Formats: sequence, structure tokens, C-alpha cells
Amino acid sequence: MNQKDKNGQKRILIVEDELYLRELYQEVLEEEGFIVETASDGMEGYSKAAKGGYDLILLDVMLPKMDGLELLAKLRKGPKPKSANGPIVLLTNLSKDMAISKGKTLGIDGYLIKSDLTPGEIIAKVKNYLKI
Amino acid sequence: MNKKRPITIEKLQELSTGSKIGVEIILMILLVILPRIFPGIIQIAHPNSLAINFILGVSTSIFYELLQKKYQKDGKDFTWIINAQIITSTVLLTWMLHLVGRINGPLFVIYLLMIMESALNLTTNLPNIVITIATTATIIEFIFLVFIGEIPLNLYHLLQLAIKIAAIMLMRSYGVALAQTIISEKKANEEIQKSTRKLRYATRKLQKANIRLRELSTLKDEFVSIASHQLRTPMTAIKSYLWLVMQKKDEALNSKDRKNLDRAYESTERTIALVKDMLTVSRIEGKRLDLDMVEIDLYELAKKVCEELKIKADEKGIHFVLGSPKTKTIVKADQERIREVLQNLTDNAIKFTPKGGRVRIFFKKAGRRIETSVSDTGAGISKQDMPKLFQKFSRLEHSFSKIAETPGTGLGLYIAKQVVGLHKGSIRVKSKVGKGSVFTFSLTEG
Repeated sequence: MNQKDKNGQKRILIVEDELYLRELYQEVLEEEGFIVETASDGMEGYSKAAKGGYDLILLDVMLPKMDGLELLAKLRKGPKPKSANGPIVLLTNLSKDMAISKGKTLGIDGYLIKSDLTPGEIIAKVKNYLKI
Repeated sequence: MNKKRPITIEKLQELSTGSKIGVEIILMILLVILPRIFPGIIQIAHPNSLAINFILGVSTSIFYELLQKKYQKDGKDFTWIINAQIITSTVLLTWMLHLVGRINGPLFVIYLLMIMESALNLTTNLPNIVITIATTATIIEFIFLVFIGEIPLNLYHLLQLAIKIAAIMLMRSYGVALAQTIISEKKANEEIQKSTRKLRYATRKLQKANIRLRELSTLKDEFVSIASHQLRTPMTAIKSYLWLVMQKKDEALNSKDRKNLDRAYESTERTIALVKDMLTVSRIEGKRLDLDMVEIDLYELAKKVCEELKIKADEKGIHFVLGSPKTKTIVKADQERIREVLQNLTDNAIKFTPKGGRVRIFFKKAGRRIETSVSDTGAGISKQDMPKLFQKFSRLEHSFSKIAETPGTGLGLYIAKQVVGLHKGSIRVKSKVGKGSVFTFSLTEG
């Protein structure tokens, strides 16, 4: 069922409302050979993530319709998807003390501060999370 | 709610007034009642006259007080009324006593009382003329009474008379004193109540203002936080797209374009840093910077900082060393914030040190504190610039124009000082112009 089983490619879900950043991350990660799916708001992100099967989810915090932390909480409470998701990493520009401490209580696997990282560094971190 | 105040001055005054009045009442009882019970033993003065004099003392005092209140309210002078009152009552009493044929009563006592009353009641505007007249009249009356044989020139009688007069005067003065105590206490209480009311009003106003200020501070904090996020999102896009372009192979970009892109990228980084620092400052000033205190190893932290800044130091040709500590360097601190402090100090050191210079991070134990120092061989800081160093936006212009290629946000050292302060640590600097500087921050051992 998992696409990664077909050709060994890893699947990444990016939930990010900012078009430029969403497309940028999608672009650079696809160039690295990942299968990238995107969602532009919390609801869309949730319905995709709930289906499961992603090796990594990059989740923005400030999102329309449902924020990233709500999405995370809902995902943790809801029924487990058939094929479990991999690590969930917050992708945010919010300062460290606010969203991240909340995220940690919801069991995030890490966080990336967007403004601190170049696309190259994002790729490196993603590979790190995927243990490549 | 307000009843729960601690012991106030009002309460203490109430107590002291109570005890004063109590003592006076007891004395009055002794003087009035004891002669009645033991008429043979204690022959001071007739109890009735003592009681009457006491009441007279009280009532005249109150009369004066009311008079004073009324006239002071209107802003008029009232001394003439008191003078008139004294003269009138003197004349009236003398005349009445003569009328009822009781010439044998020691009239001069009344004159004495008059003088005493006016002296007791009138602390200001003492009517000297009236007193002089009354005193003269008393002496004349005394001589007159002696002359007609009413007062025998006999030591025993004179002594008895003196005791009687003294007792009556004492009673009268007690009356006056009691009334005056009550009046002054009442006045003081009124004053206190008035100022208490004023104070309460002011407190309420201040409380309201304080709440409003806090709301505003929260609003400001939220605003800065949101603005920071909103600003950083497009800045991230600019930075990332610039980076993508800069990844192009050397042939694709000529050196001028590359230089321009470098500058655009650097400026973007600076803006991001500034926005971030402003958020931190807003947090610090709103006292909302939460520290996540954990045990950290400063040496390990310094290693990471060195890794990050090594390239920069190498590019500038700076000898960059991390001294290995002789003791444990474990402290309890917020890892991220302290890393920022160390990174900031080291980054500054590299920035201000010329090519071929040396930047060194080293540790020292001082009592229960671990001192982390960053030394450089830069231009140093002049004495007059020292106080400005840890202030907001206080970049030292001349030193920047000489050495620094990328100006900072002007908030780094301010934030460093505040963050170290929140850790109950301290930060200091030693510097010699032309030789270099050493920045040291100390944290309590974990």
C-alpha cells in the first residue's frame, strides 16, 4: 500500500499555508527524491495526516481553519491510521518558548525554526529525521 | 474586604483617646464622689461646685470650638467674640452673685477661671488686654474681700481657700482638657478619614491604571509576537529563494551578481535577527521570558558555538580557540538562551578582531560560580563607551566603522545582560583600547 514500498521513496507531508514557502519546500524536497504532498490549511492537513502513511510530517503552527497544535491534538486523540505516520516535526517561525513547549506536551518529534534555516539545512534536517 | 486592614493609626489613636478620657473620668469621680462619701476626711470643695465647674469647663470649650469652626469657615476673625464673652460673663456672674446676696463667696475664683479658660482655649490670639483686666479685677476683688472681712487674714483659712480654689480650678481644667481632647481627636480622626478616603481613591485609580498598563503590555507583547511571526514568514521566503539562486554554479553568476546576492542575503539575515531580538526584548521587558532550566554543560555548549562560528573565524583569518576547562562546567540554565548569549559574545569577538587576531573561550571556577569568558585581541572599548555597552541599541559607532563589516542589531549585549540576570548570574567586561576585551558571564554551579 505504501508508496515508499514500491520504489523506496519516502513520503513527506508539508502542512504550510504560505504558498511561497510551501512550494519552495516541496520543490527542494522533491529534487532530493522524496514524494511530497502538501496541505494549505489545518483541515486539509488533518484529513491527509489522518489517513496515515507519511514517513515525515512537517507541520506549520499558524494555519487557517485549524492551527497546527489543534491538528496535532486531534491526530493524537483520533483513531490510529492503518499505516502509522512517521515523526511529526513542527515547522514554525513562532518563538521557541510559545508553540514549541505546547507541541512538546503533544508529543512532537522535533521542531524547525523556518527563518533560521536555509533550504539546504532543511533538507539536511529532514534527512536526519528520516534517518537517511 | 477593606475591613481586613492591619492595625492602623486610627485604631491606635482611638485607644489612646479612650485611655486619656478614662483617666480623666476616674479623677473626676475621685474628686466629686470621695468628698461625698467621706465628708469628714476630705474637705476640698463642695462636690456640687466641683461637678458644675467640670461641666462648665467642657461646655465652654465646646462653645469656643463651635465658634471657631463657624468663623474659620467664613474666614472671619473671632477673637473679639471671645473677649466679649469673657467680659460679659465676668460682669454677669459678679452681678448675679451680688443680686442673690451671696457676697461671701470667693468671687475672685470666677475671675481666675475666666483667665484660665481663655488661656486654655485660646492658644492663638491670646487677648492680653482682657487677661490684664481680669487679673487686675481679681486682685482688687481679693483686696476688697479681705477689707470687708470676708477673707480673714488667717493662715488656716487662707490655706483652706487655696485648696478649694485649686480643686475647683483642677476640675474646671479637667473639663476643658477633656473637651479639647475629644475635639482634637475628632479633628484628627476626621483628617485621617479624609486622607484615608483620598488614599483609597488614589489606590483604586492606580490599580485601574496598573491593570490597564498590564493589558497594554500584554497587547504589545502579543502584537510584537504576531508581527515578528508575520515579518519572519516573508523574510524566510526571501532568504530561502536568495539561497536557492546563490546555489547556482559559479559560471551561472558573475562575481558582481554574486556579491550583490551575498549582500541581499546578509541583509535578510540581519533583519530576521533584528525581528527576533525585538521579540526577545519585548518578552524581557514584559517579564514574560520563560526560562527552561535544565542541567547543561557549558563546555559542550561552547563546542557547538565554536563549530558554528569556526568558518567565520577561519574566513577572517582569526585564531579561534576553546580552552578545555579544569573543573566541571555544569550549570542549571536555559540551554537555548545561554547558547545565544555565548554565541553573541563570541560572534562579537570575531566581528571586532582584525585579521590575524585571536579569540578565545575559556572557563574558570569562582566559588560556586562558573565563569565563561570570551577574549579577543580587537580594538578594545574606551572608558566612555563602557556604560553604553549593555544598553539597548547602543552600538559603538567608531569601533564599528573601523572593523565590523556587518553591524549587529544593537540588542545583543542588552539581551545577554538581561538573560544572564534572569539566571541570577552576572556579566562584566574588561577592556584595554588597542589590546582587546574580555567578556565574562558567571552562572551558579548546577
